[in-house]
Parts: sequence; structure tokens; C-alpha cells
Amino acid sequence: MAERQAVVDHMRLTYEGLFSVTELYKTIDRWLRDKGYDKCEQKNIEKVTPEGKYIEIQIEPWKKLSDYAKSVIKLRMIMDEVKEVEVERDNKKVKLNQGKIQMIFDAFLETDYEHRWEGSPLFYFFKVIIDKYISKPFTSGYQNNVLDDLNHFHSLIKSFLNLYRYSETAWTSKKQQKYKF
Amino acid sequence: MVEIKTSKLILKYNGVIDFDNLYRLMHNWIVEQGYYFEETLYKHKIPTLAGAEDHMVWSGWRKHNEYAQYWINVYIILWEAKEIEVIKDGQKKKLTKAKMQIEMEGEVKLDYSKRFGGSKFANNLKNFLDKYILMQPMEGAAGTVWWDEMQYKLHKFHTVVKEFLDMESKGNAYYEVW
Repeated sequence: MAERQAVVDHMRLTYEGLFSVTELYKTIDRWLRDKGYDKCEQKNIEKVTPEGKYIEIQIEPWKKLSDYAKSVIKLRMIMDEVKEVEVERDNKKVKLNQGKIQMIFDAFLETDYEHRWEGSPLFYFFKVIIDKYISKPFTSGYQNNVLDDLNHFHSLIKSFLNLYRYSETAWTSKKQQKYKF
Repeated sequence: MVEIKTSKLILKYNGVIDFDNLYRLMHNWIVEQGYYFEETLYKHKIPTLAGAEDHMVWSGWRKHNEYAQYWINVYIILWEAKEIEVIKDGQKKKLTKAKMQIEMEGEVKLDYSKRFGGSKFANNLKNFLDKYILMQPMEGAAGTVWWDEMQYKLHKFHTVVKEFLDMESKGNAYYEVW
């Protein structure tokens, strides 16, 4: 089996207020495409309730970094009490949504995703030796790639939701990561 | 025969659905893409006070070439389905209020006609073909390009359904891929 190393584990973002679900979804989709991630939408749930819509989306896009490693971002979005409201912006009426969002981000570095080094015990032995003593700088470089991507992704969503005023540095800045992991 | 499955896409919707038209839309999409359509299961349970329960299993297949075959498998489940009458644009319409789950899965079958399944020699020949001759479209032994096409076609199908249901998360930035 391919091995998954958690680079970011359960990073959360919570928001309550005005936003557009469709635009948020499109922004996420566009960013993933621009960054070269392959699409994988695992779950999409929408319930219409008297309090508003309940929407749950789980995506797990991935990007090959090399023949050996790939970056996987897992995002679970839960939106509750989503209602449609009309807002006046620049003297024009705009349809937006009002509700609560909770986002959970995970990022993984998946190695040997093509299962090339699992064929025999000897192969696996070499894989462990190479991983541990030879390719460690490459692997940590890949981990930084995954982390950078997630940072960018997180800031994109934060800027979309206009959340920047609440924090000066990103939660996953490399300085903070040193202490977190 | 080697079968490579794409990731399963799950869509759940709870609300009022124009199910007749959704059924037609999904069926037509599969047929228009050149798939041979089969409804392998249609199960209707006796309705209770909560409503009826329906299960549908569809599969569609088409030849991509003499070696690879594409399959689309769709599972539709409806719970607590009740017919309701709604007035839309001044016209009475019969719609369904239900909980619905749609699962979509794609599959690429390699050597579907089992040309190379006869003997050990034929099997080795197949491995040689996979490894050295068909390397380009398959990118190794994983059938990546064919799998990729299948995966993105399935996402298109997923988008079509989401747009029909007017879900908030409609749209697909990858629409023109494949």
C-alpha cells in the first residue's frame, strides 16, 4: 500500500455570515485546476430544511509531484442554515447566501502511489533504506510543496470570505509549523 | 482481464425533485455518450407512511478500442418518496419529495474480449504489450490516460446532475478536460 504522511492534520476554518456558495465552490475548483490538481469530489450532500440548506462537500484532489510522490489535499466543507438573501451592492441587487461554514483541511504526502516498491520483500527493504537515508531531503522538499499549496489554498478561501483582518500570519506558516509538528 | 476503477462520486439530495425528467436526462446523457445502456435492477418497495423506496442500478458500456472498454455504473436510491403537486409558472406539475442518493463509478476494462487469457504465453504477450507497446496511452501499467478520460467524463455527468438539481455547488472548472 502507498504510504501517506500527514503534513497538515485537521486545520479548521469557521465562518458565519454572507457569502456565495456557488462562487466559493467555483473559486476552489478553479484554484485546484490552475495548480494542476486532479479533481476528485467524493461526496456532495444537499438537504433542504426549514432552517435553510445543509450542504456537505468532500473533495480529495491530488497532484503528482514525481513518479514516486504525490500531494493530496482533503477538504471537508459543512455549510448549515444556508439561506438565500438579496443584498444591495453598488446600487444593484445581488443574490447571496447567508449561513455557517465549517471547513476542515488535511494535506498528505503520498509516496509510492504506483505500488512499484511493494512487489517483493527485497523491494520493500530497499524502499525503506532509500526513504530513510537517501531520499530524505527530496521528501522534505515535497512536504514543503504540499504545505505551500495548502497555505495558498487556505489564504485563497480566507480572502474569498474576507477573513484576513482576523489574523496577521497564516496558521500554517513554516515558523508555526515547526512547533506544531 | 484487468479492471481499473475510477473513484466513486456520491451525490445526496434531500428535497423536491423532478425525478421523471432527471431520469430521462441521466439516461439520455449515457446514451448520447455512445454507451450501451442497461437498467440491471429496478426495485420498488411497497410504500409505507413515510413514502416509497426505489433502487435502480444502471450500467453502460462502450468500446474505446479493441483493447479497452469503458463502463459507467450508476446506483440510484430514493427513500421516503412521495408524489406532490406543485404549481410552477401557473402550471400544475407532479414532482417527487424524497431523499435521494446517486453513486457514480467508472471502470476501464483492459483486454475485455479475453484475447490474452488463454495460456501463460498469451499472458506474457499481454504483459509485453502493456509494458512496451501500449506504454504511451497507458503510462505504465496503470492505464492512466484511459482512466483519466473516464474520471473526467464521470465528473461531467456529475455536474450535469448537479445543475439539473440546481444544487449550490454546481459548476466544473474541468469541464473542457476530455
